[in-house]
Amino acid sequence: MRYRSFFRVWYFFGCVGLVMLFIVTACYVFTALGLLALGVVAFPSVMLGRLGILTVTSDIQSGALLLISAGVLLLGAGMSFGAIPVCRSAYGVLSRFVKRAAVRRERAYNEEDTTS
Amino acid sequence: MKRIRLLKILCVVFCTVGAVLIGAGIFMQYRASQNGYAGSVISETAEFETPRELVVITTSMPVTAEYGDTDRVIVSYTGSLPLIFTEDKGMLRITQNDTFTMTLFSPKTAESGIHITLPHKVYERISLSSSSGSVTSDCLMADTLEFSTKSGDMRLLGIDERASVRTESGNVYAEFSSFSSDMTVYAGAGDVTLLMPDELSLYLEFFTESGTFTSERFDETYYHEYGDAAVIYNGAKHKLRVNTSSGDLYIY
Repeated sequence: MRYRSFFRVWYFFGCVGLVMLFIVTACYVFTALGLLALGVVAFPSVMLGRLGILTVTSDIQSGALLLISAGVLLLGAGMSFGAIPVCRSAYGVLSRFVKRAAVRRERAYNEEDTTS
Repeated sequence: MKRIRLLKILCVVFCTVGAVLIGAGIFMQYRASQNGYAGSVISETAEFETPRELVVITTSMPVTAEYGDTDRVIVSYTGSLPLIFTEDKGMLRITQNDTFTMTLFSPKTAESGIHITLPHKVYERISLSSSSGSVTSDCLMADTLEFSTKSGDMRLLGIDERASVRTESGNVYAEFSSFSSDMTVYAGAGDVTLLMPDELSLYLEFFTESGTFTSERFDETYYHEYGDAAVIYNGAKHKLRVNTSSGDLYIY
């Protein structure tokens, strides 16, 4: 009985942790895609503005705007490259937890049967 | 496995370079603001002789026109580009040319708009039109009053039946000071809210595809077909036609 209770507590906190992990991973992926999309729009626009083809209005000075938009583009691209390893790691943790939970549950029930 | 490793390396390199560039940009902007850089948004005020005709055409800037205690026309605006003012044969024409314009990282442009203060007089023609900006007029008087938008809302105070009101999808709110002739309001997908004078006698025709008609003033409503309504109120001397596609009509 003691073993089964321990398993339940362990399982509950494990599930909470997995949900947190899922949320963090989703935030990471959406941030990466958002930054990439912003950079893809902003950087070419700023370049066209520097070339005099487009009028770009901003509260930021044009040179600083060019650096920031290039930075956002690179950061978005970099984070997008990292999205696959991050998702893979999250999936690894999740599948390992589920497998280990199944093994522990099995063991808990076996232990219970043996004791009774 | 090698691909994942390559992706990790690319992630670290790109993120580092990107963060450095953003940091450099923020530092450059900080230096520029220390030297007095205040952004590229324009805020100006211009004054003109009182014209006979006033024509305002904007693409995205909201327009507000009203009378004020002044003997000259005062135009104050905030926008991404300078407005174009043309004075010709008693006509003042104000246009906004923002073709190939983009706004990035600029909260100030949310305040963009034109505010026109006119001297008190009856003008020959006042025409206010905007594509996506709203149009607001306060008790303007002219032989020809024209208001039009594509998606911008309209708020028209103190107009009469001589006004021409036309929008594709913007909402119309109009307060009538008098109504003594026929008039047509075209509103497309926008809702129309009309405040009519209390002593009004009116024949109303509302043509719509899917809009609805709501009013507490009329005792009887005759429906021609689905959606269309005709209302006779208080003797009915003058006809008001309202045409919408899906816009609703409210009369108070």
